[in-house]
Amino acid sequence: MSHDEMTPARLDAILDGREPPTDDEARDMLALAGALREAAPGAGTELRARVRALPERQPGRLRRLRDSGWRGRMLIAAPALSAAVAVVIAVGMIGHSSGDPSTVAENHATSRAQTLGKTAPTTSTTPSLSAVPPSVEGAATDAGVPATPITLRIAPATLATRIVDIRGLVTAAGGTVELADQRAQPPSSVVSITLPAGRSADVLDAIAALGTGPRSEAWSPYLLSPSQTGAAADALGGLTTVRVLLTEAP
Amino acid sequence: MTVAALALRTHTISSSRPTFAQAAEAHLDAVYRYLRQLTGNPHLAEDLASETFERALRVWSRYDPARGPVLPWLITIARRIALDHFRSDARRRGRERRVAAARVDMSRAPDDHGDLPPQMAAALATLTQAEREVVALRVLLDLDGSEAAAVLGITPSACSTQLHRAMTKLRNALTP
Repeated sequence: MSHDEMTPARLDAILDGREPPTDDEARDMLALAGALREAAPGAGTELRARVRALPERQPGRLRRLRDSGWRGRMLIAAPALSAAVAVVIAVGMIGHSSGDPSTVAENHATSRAQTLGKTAPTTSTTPSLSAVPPSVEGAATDAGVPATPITLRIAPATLATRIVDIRGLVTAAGGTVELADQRAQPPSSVVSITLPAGRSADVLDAIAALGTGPRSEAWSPYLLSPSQTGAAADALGGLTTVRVLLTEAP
Repeated sequence: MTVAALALRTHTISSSRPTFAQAAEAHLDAVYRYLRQLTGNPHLAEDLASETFERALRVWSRYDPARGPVLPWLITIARRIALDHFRSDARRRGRERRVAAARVDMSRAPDDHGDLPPQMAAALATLTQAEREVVALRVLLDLDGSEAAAVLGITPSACSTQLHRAMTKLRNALTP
């Protein structure tokens, strides 16, 4: 029987199988390693299920691009920069001719109050809603959009996720989402949302909760009401349009 | 090493890239065992393992098989998450101590080896956190000396010394 001293290097060699256990101490160490492996419990079924479900919740394409290094970021930044330039030109051309903000605010306060089942805080009469829009999606493109977006500040690196969240909320309520003016620094995007007015309250509440900014009750001045969209009353009470500027906190 | 892990290691050696799902399936047990050994708390280990794979999925595109097998890469993420947890937990405990000096949170005691055989649990409790960690990497996860040293950020010889000390302590604790 060999009585080699159990040095760190020898222990390494024995555990790696590079040297046979030729004495009691070496055999003890191997047995101990085996006992440790046997005693170590594996992952439970709940954890396994949670981890297996992760790829199904894989982040969206935008986020994957951002995580894929500088090439991905360039792919995001290039269209965002183009969009930003286009918006600057468009804003310059349109100027401030999109209507009297106070009227917009008044009409939308009425619409919002109706949606929430409350009395409107303004003195305006019930909006007249006559024609039925052919479809929510079609009407969204016909409708104008409010000039001023409401700003919602979101956590760093969550822009893509929040856009996906908003798209999910809005489409589930039968509305549409369009993106514009995406910027890389700081990451931001304007989301133009068109919703059936009758379903807008809950959706706008949920969207307001995605970031920091005015509560949805204070969004009335930024909403474009059913009468202004030109889409008149259907069973859902017309369409409400709002633009939300999502911007990541530094 | 499990059959899935062995298959994945072969897959990696041939330098083709495993999918995240394949890597998670093959190495979930190893990551959990590492965190279990490091934290000494099964519930905390589950939370941290889940967080590890969430973060690994987010940065999966950055994993480069040419730079090494996937398990040390996952363990490096797990280790960073665990250390972040320990730091924030220490800060939280510090705040709690300042507010209520006498109150101690026993529900998350760091050495709760409840589901291990009592003798083994007692022996493991004699190890320091660093010693538990090296045993987890070298014995439970079967990483080789240089892989374990890279994860720990120490030299291979320091890793060997630490392992030797830990195994000798365990052997002495388990010998009647």
